[in-house]
Amino acid sequence: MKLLLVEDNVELSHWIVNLLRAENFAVDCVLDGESADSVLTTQRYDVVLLDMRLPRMSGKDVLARLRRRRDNVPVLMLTAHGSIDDKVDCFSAGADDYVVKPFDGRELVARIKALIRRQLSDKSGWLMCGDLQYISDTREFRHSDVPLGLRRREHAILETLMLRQGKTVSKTTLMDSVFGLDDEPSADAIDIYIHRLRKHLAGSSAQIMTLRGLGYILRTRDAP
Amino acid sequence: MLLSLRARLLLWLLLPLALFVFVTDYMSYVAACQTADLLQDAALLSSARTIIEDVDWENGALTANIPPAALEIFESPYQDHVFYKVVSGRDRLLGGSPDLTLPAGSTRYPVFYNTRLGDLPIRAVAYERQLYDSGKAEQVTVIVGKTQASRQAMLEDLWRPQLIRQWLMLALVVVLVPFGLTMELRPLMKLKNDVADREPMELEPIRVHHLPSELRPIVDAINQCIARLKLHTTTQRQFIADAAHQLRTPLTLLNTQVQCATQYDPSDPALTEALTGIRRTSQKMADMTSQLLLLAQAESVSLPRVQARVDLAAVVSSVLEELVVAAQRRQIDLGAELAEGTYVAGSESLLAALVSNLADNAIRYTHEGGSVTVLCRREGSHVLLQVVDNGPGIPAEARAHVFERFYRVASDVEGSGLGLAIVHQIALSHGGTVTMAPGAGRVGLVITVRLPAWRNEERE
Repeated sequence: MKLLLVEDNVELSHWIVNLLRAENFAVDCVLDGESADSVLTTQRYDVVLLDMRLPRMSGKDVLARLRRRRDNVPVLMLTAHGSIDDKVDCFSAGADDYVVKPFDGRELVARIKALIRRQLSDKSGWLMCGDLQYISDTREFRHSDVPLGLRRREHAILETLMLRQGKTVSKTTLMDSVFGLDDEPSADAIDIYIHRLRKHLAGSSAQIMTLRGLGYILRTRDAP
Repeated sequence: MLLSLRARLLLWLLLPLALFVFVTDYMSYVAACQTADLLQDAALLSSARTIIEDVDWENGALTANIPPAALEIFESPYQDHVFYKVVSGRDRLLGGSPDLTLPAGSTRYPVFYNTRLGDLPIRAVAYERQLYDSGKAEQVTVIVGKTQASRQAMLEDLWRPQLIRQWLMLALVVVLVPFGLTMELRPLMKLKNDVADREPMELEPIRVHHLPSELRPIVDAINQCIARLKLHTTTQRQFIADAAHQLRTPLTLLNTQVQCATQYDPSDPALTEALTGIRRTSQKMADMTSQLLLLAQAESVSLPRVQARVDLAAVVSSVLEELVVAAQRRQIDLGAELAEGTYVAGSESLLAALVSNLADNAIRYTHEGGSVTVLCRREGSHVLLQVVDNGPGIPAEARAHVFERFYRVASDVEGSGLGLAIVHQIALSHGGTVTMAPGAGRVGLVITVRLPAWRNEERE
């Protein structure tokens, strides 16, 4: 996997490169926006780490020019502001994700990996949540390459959660996804299915969390 | 030293006026005395002349017949005693009261004088005339005196109305000056209330419309002071924001370096422990700088600039989505009870920070296995946000301090000590309030944020 790091602080970029190389990434590094722009026109990368504030050309401008060339390389913005406005700016400029400085090294690596995985799944037609894999063609769930033995309604619920992973899914939405017109919808039944699904996912790093009053969320177990 | 403007102004007016009234009253008293004396003396003289007209020769001797008209002249409701004495030659009494004394010296011309008859003070006139009869000349002296009751009455009639008018005027001054001052000082009182009711961070100048011209310089001075204060505060905030911002890069660097170091499979467990410690500390510093920046941001926002329509319930659910992992880690049952129509005017990012700080605090301080619930509903013209937990709560004596920066209730829980200060500041900048109370059955804590609801429903 080949990454490009665009960061003007020499010391910081040196250490980020160290960190990423230890994670077995190949990393190129440039110090300003203009060189980033010219490198990106010639080279192909799997992920670009782009600082917002750069000398000569801002990270946002680099990103805008990249997207104008219809280059869909995943871009992870490094921003020093944490405000929502800033995040919205990042996304509207075409970024795929962002981390706010000061970030944790583990978080950076996790997000890069997630971006790569998302890109892979876009190409191959599957979704991942931790080590839980969903193959869109066959609509099959796999954990460590072993298919999960799910019943029809359990499958429907997990599918709904997977397609909106990281977001709260209300009980009503889950009920709609499970019950046909001939069924008697029951909120208690959903609790039972969730309970069973949690047992199925016990060995996986994906888990279903409850937000009382709001619904359920499928997301990866937090690293301790 | 009298400190009341009212009392001092009253003194300035009252003392000179009272002195003036006193002097003019004295002068008019003197004038009234003169007038009364003049009138009384004229009456006495005409009475004396009438009497002397009727002194005549009768059989070679002088006789005095007192005509009634001579005494009727003194008739009045005050019933003055009138005395007369007619003397011929040096001491031959022709009639009247013998005790009436003559004035000393010549009485060739009418002489007016004060004397006493028994105990009574008397004003008298002595008038002298030569009477001739067949070569004889006799000198006749007539004295007419009267007591002073009618003169006194006249004096009072002349003098008292003015006295009453002037004292009434003084009384009016005493009443009207404080009243007028109270009315006219109302702009000053209003100004005082304007200044006193200000929020601590409300650094807008005071408006000078409709202010009396005397107050303008004061208001201008206050406004200049406010402007300087504002500049100072802005600089201060900018400094905090800049400082927090500048800290980010070295902190990122530190985090990355620590991360790199942990990857070199250390054989020494003490080294691993130290590295874990460093990472935790740098994370704490990172959190604190973020919070400082957030606080600086919240303080620099003023209400008119943040007028977007925000659904607070939607903010709550997206914030809880972020916090569910932290809650899960502590096995805390995190939930929400959200109602419809919870729109407020404000900045979505700041409101998210408010909810996040409150819920995050509740999750941190509640014991493992506890529960945290965020409620959001409309209540009249306000939107109510409540974070309810069943944790240890906050002791009453600490409640007053929890909104202060860097105040920590429990030192064994990780936190920046800025969370509630941020919540307070964001609520304030959105025109809202934050209150806290123990939960039902005195278990846990309920923090209530009350924000003005979005009013321009028709603009949707």
